[in-house]
Amino acid sequence: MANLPHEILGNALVLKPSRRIDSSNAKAFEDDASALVDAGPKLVVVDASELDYISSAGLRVILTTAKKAKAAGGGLTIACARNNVKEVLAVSGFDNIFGLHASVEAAIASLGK
Amino acid sequence: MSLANDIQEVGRVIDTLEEFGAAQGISPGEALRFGLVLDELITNIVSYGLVGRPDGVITLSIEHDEGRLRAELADNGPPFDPLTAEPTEPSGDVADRAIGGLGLKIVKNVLDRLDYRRTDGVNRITMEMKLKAA
Repeated sequence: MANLPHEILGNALVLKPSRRIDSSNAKAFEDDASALVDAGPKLVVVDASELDYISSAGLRVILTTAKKAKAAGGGLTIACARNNVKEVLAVSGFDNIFGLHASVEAAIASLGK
Repeated sequence: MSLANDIQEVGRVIDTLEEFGAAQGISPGEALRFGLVLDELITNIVSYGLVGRPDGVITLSIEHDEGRLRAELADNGPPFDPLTAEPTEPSGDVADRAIGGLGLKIVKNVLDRLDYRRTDGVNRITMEMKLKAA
């Protein structure tokens, strides 16, 4: 994940990790996400629609990204999680902590409030 | 398979499991669920048990029969029983607390069976997951 796919929608940064965030590539996600938050909007949505897999190392880097966004006056939430990713978010409680939305649009709207 | 004492090996293990699953007619989602368990356990070994150990050796075997995936993961690190490991002391905000001990929580959530034994200076974790009917 040398170049984390992303787009800027209005005042939000949408991160679109694909396939997996596992222990071997979590650091690359963290570095890319950190640079994108530095350079761009501080309202961050993790669009998980293309993500098949996340481990605890992946949750850890989402947490560090969320802290960075929050410290810059923004925030982070998650959209479109499926299957295994949804299950891991539920086991960890991250779905309640960060919010899990059915669409990117709903996620952005929740951050704007 | 034999694994280097390197976190980058986790990617290779999951790739291997995906290929194994496809060859055995296991759904990609179920193969990845099992891969998640191996990711968490191997990450523990590489990040704690075998840290700074150039002589660290990890071996993994995986088998599939009668609707179950089984694996044995062995390493020559200090004794570590994931069944009795205490979760790390909760600290920080709500999200920090949620992540403490999360790896093993994920492991226990997915597996139907997890056994640990220590023989001849080697940790051996055996595990089993029933496959969901397609």
